[in-house]
Amino acid sequence: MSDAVAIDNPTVADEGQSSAWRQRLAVLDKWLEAAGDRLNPILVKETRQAIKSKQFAITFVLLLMLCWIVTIGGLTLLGPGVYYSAAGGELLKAYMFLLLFPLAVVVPFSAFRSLSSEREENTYDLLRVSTLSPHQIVRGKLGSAAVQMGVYLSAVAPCIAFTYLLRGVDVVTIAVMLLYATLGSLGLAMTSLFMAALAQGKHGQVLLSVGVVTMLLGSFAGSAGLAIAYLDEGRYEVSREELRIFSAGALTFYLTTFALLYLAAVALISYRSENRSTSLRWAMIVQQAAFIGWMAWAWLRFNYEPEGLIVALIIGAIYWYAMGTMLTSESPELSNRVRRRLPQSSMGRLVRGLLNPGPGTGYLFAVACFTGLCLMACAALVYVQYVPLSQRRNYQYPEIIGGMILLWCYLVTYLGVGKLIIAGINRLVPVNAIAGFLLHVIFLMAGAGIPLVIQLSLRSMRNAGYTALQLSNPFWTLGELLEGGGFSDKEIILQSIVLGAVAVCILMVNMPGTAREFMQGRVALPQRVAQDEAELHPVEIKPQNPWEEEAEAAADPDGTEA
Amino acid sequence: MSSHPQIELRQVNRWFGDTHAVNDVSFEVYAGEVFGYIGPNGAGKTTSMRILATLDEATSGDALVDGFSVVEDPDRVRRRLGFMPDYFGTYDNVDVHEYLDFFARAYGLRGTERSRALAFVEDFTGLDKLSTKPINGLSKGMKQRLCLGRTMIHDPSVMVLDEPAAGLDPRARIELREMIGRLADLGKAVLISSHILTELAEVCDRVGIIEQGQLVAVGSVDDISRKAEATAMVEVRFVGDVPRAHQWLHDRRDLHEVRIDERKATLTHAGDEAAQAQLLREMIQAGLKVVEFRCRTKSLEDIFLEVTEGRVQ
Ligand SMILES: Nc1ncnc2c1ncn2[C@@H]1O[C@H](COP(=O)(O)OP(=O)(O)OP(=O)(O)O)[C@@H](O)[C@H]1O
Ligand SMILES: [Mg+2]
Repeated sequence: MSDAVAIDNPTVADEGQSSAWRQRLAVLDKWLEAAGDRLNPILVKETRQAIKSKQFAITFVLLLMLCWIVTIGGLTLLGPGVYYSAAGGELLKAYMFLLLFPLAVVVPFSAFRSLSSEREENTYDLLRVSTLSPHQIVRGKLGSAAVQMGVYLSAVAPCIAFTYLLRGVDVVTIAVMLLYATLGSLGLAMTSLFMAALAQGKHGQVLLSVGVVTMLLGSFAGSAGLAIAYLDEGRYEVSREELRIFSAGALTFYLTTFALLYLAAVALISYRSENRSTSLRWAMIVQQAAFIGWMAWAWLRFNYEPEGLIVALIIGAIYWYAMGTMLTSESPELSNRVRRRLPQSSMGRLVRGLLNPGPGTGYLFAVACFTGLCLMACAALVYVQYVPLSQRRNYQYPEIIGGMILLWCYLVTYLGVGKLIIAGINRLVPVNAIAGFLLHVIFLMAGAGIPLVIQLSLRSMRNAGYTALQLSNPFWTLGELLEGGGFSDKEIILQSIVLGAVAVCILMVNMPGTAREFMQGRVALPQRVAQDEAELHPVEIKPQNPWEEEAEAAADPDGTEA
Repeated sequence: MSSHPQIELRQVNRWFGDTHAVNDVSFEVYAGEVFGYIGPNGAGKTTSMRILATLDEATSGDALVDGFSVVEDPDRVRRRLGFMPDYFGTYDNVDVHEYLDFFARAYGLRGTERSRALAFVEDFTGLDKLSTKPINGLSKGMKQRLCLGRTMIHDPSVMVLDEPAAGLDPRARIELREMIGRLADLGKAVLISSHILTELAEVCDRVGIIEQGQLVAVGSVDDISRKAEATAMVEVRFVGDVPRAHQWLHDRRDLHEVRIDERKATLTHAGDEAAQAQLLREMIQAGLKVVEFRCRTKSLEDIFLEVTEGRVQ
């Protein structure tokens, strides 16, 4: 017995040490647990899955091995040249090529799969009945794409650091390239998630996954080409202004589009009575504002180019047409859930109405936003009057103004008629956003194509070039006006009047339906909901003015309640 | 507990094209009550349960959970509702504990609250010993338990279970019945569907029988059994002059559904046991040679077959 005490028992010491370790681990565990609590549940689960996933491990090991092969191969080829030639650029090209494949294809595609396989495996219903919000679902999927991306980046990072040691590339170039790759990958992941959210049925899913793969492979080829071209070009010169401006512009476009796709994906997986439109409309407004800001800046900076205005208007018209096609296929009935939050006053409803869900408000919203863009263009036309001719090109007013009017008329007409068509079909079968978009496009193609076919089939007119028959064809008419200069001023005025009259008629025809949407009043919060709301978020009665505050302080001199 | 029903269906209709899957169904389930939802294949059980679980939309009508509409306030409904579908949604590379942990997180449970919920559920469903087993390797019965565990992880006040007993062995069925009984004891409103009435008879306070989208009978199991006891099925065997016995049976006004093959006849007879004894005496007094006289109260199965007509839509 005493022997046992005398001997410095190694196992006991070990145990003491390991229990200390265990304690430390337990603390760490607790800390991680607390941190993990705040993380997105989907992110946590998918990271756990990825750690155990064979496919992930294989991709990772493959990437590592390829990097090593490239490194060893490169060094062997260089031989002693490694000491004096600046070979970093060449090797970096190879590494970027290797890195871009997982970033541009593997990560976004697994984001797409992870959302669409929830549908196939029936787990999507389980997510839906849980209290996870659509925001959390999309963010979780996006987050796990980001984690995967981080892992791939860290696999290639040592190699990329190595290229810096080899000389030939500078840190800024590497950093900018990696930043672009990361942002690009996240953007592709977001786009893929949006597509996955879009694919509701089985056939749609197959079709869209083909689309997604094509898109991803295309962007892989494109981005690899860009990276190589960029490295051939040399380096990222922070001092070059155009480069900075281009980057900032691209970043604005990226961020606003990202937000739009994110909100659209969230809207697609939200339940039907939820307001799925207002946040998207805000995002569109922000995107248009950013667009106007950049165009205005560029216009002022680069000699007030008249083409700048035209290009901005054309882009704006295409943008609002595209957005309008989807907005006009929303349901005309506001759900009670949405109507609970409508402003109480009719004035408030009128102002906020444009942002409310509904095909009529959507139509008016798209038209109003494009009208805003036109007004900005008009302001620019007035402004340029005061710029001395020596500093700017001459403006062809009839063509610019005529082009603007035609764009406006075409937008109003095509969206308006398309909306009526959708409303008609909606009575028979429900039309979703994709179907709405297709109906619009088919109608546009018909409007442009049918007169073309007629003209080509009439022998007398076949070689006549542009004729008045083509007035319903926006592409040819605008092309003739802006590029060919094929119209006299008189013709332009005539066209504007005819198309303007049609557009105003269409707008008027759409008004009753739109007005009905605006008239929908607020509904009271059901009592049960109000009761629950009060239980969930008890309203603290805050002092309304300093006197009450003082009185409260006097009643509670120690401030214990605070 | 509040006096309003925990589950309320109000004239729910659901059309799939030309199929009227749910036809004007209304019923209520209160806290602490187990409601059995019984019907043959394609009767519309799953469809109405999915509507209740905010996964499908009624063509018309509304369903309420704890007073909240599934159409207008699905978020509030989801917080209170546990839905167990008739399929198992699986993930690759996830074990039992992680699976439950994920759903606990998805329902917003944090920290100790979550670990307590996990411990309770794993214990309740008897999954504690399997917690590190990958879910894809579980047997059917274990998957059912896991499903049930997932359904109750956030301690919902309403549970909607779609055929939870399907694919379970007899022992597991008994255990499941016990579990459901305990859930009701915890004050939950339980809606549970099945093809088989007898399977639910013991646990259900009330049952609704649905066929071709329509509720054809609603009532407590006692009500239904009382109705069943009021009429008895009688089996009689004769020897001797069989045709005369047949004639005698046919001539009696108080006997229904008389079916005769050879020396055996089955018939239904309205009346209690005394009336049955009287019937037997009259047979013997009439000189029929009765060798066997057996009375059987109608089983729930018989009633089910009677109420539903076996049409499939
Ligand atoms: N998504 C759907 N599309 C078209 N028809 C459907 C759909 N879901 C259900 N149905 C139809 O609705 C009816 C009711 O189906 P439901 O799944 O609710 O029956 P059930 O009572 O659950 O049957 P089971 O006991 O076989 O599970 C059936 O006729 C079915 O064909
Ligand atoms: Mg079913």
